[in-house]
Amino acid sequence: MTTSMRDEILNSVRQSCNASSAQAVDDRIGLRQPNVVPARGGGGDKISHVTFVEEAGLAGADIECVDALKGVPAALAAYLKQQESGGNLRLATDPLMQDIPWEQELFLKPASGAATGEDGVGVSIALAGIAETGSVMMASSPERPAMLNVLPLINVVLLPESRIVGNYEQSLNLVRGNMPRMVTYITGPSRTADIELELLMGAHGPQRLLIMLIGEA
Amino acid sequence: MQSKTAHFKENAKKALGDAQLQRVLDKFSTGFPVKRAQAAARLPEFEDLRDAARDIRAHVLDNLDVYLERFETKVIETGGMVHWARGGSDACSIIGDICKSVDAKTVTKSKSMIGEEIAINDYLEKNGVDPVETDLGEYIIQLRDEPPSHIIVPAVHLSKEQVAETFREKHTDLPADRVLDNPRILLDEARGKLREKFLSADVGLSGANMLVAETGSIALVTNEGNADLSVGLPRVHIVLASIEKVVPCMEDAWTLLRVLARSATGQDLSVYTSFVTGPKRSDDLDGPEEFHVVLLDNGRSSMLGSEFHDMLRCIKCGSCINHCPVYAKIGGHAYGWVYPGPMGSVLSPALLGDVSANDLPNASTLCGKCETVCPVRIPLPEMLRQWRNRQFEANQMPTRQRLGLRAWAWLARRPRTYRLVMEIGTGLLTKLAPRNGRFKNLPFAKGWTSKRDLPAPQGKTFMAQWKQRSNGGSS
Ligand code: SF4
Repeated sequence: MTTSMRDEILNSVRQSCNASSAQAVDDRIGLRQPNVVPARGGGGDKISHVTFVEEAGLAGADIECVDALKGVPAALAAYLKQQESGGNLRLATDPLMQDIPWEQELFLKPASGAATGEDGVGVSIALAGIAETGSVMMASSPERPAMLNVLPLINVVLLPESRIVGNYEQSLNLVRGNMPRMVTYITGPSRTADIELELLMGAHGPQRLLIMLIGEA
Repeated sequence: MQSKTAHFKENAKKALGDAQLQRVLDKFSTGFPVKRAQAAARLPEFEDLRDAARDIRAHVLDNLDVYLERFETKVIETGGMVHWARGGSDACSIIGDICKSVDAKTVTKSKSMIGEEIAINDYLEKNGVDPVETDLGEYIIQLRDEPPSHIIVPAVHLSKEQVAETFREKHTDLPADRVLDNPRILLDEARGKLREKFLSADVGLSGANMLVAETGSIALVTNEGNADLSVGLPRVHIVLASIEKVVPCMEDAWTLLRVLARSATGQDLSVYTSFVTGPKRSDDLDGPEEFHVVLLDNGRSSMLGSEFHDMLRCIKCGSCINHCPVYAKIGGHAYGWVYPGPMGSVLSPALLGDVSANDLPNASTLCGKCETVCPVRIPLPEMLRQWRNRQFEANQMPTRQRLGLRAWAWLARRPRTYRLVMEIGTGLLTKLAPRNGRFKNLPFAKGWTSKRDLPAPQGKTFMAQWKQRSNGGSS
């Protein structure tokens, strides 16, 4: 039944697309050419970095800068205490995560695996940071379950500074040819304005997004 | 969703007299346009991006058959399944069958106007499946058994007091005397309720903001994160999308995304922009085992190539609605179906395919604001005019209106006669004018004078004055 419905729909579309060209379509898909790219995110590495921090802040993200991976536990523990959050963490198992000396902060209690509804803090690693809008690019994999970014109340994203790019287009070659199941660009914490247009954070997803910028990783 | 477009006039009248609605509409119609203008001003390339966005959508529509085939191939390659649905009931039964095949009890839904279009919730309920809307606004109106009044802020017509009342009535397991006096408390209560649903649902049903032909991905855009949760936790993900939503490659998707949120809410980008490609991979810890895409036509293929072809460029940002002075006065429910405002007044008559929505294209002053803010530059006023034209040609309007228009057309095409008639009319009205220069009453103009005075002409017609001036005379 569906097959014939498929043909019916395609035929009906075809009737009005009489000038459509398979060649033009394949060329276009294959071209992968950026269209108009705003200057905002561009410029040298330095500019991208500053823009990223500014834009992420405007979108409501919190930013912590640490020099190296080993600085993550102390900075994260301080942040969580300030937020009056507990120290239970759900970690992605990304290789970078293994280099973090979690045991240095007894307040933090890391566990790994898929996120559950009870997790207060999820910690994951971004594939890229996009300066243009201060977004972090998250890609799912067995080491980085997708729900880690949306289920916990606080979403912590580690972003090595070297992964900041100017615009979205520059992040595409990281996934091209082998799209992860879920690629999410996160720009600030979850929010809604559905009740009398009052903007509130933490709609279904995290109430806070902490981006930890890591100098060397 | 049942169409009530035929009752447009009564519903609009009712809305105008509804003080509560007028209060929230005022708030709405001042907020969004300002935010959009600020976002546009912050991005020097915004107008160029709009051109590029328009061109992408136009190119896809010109080659839609091939793009659909390419998209289908990619979805299958990445482990998903594609279903084709000619009409709403076809789509409903496809979705119902998938739900049945996994013995689904609960379906979490992220906001989908296509879902409203085909009334999927009613269908699922009838078949013993519990559909749960997860966008906060959609959740509220689902509890109230109301249709959305806006495509991006579906509960914009409600006050927080009304929401509180609804929660008290429906969330009966919570203490009846709890405090529900501000939006934060209301949100937290809904968050708690929906969390249970996210974690227990069997199927996640979403729309799609775009279908990417290059990768077979679907793009999902939300601020709440509800789409990601709705489709990431259950065992099955079903995507319901209309056929025109394809874009060529990821770069094109990003061009459209750059104008989408800015036009919609004035954000630079929505909080969660997700590209979902196929089902869970073998070693993934989360994600659905099945990934289905239902491609719905429902009247769109017959819009292609017609005078309403360009309407299919629409990316459902809602900007034309946010800027429409008519919507700002009557709200979304008056339009009587899924799509309100200018885009709805063009789309509804086409998709419903009958005369029931005939009033919609006539309820416009053709001020043109919608076209100036549409990110893909759809000539909405021109299309409204096309609908009026069609109604005239097909003899689908009241005789008086038709005769009036015919007389007007006759006159407007004969400049000399037109001028003569105007001169006589103007002269007559000037002579008859009351002392204060305003008519309280005029035969044949009750529709005007019952609500307001008609200012009397102040001397000669424009053309006569013009002539006098160009002859060197002074007036
Ligand atoms: S018609 Fe244009 S402005 Fe209106 S919703 Fe569609 S894309 Fe947005």
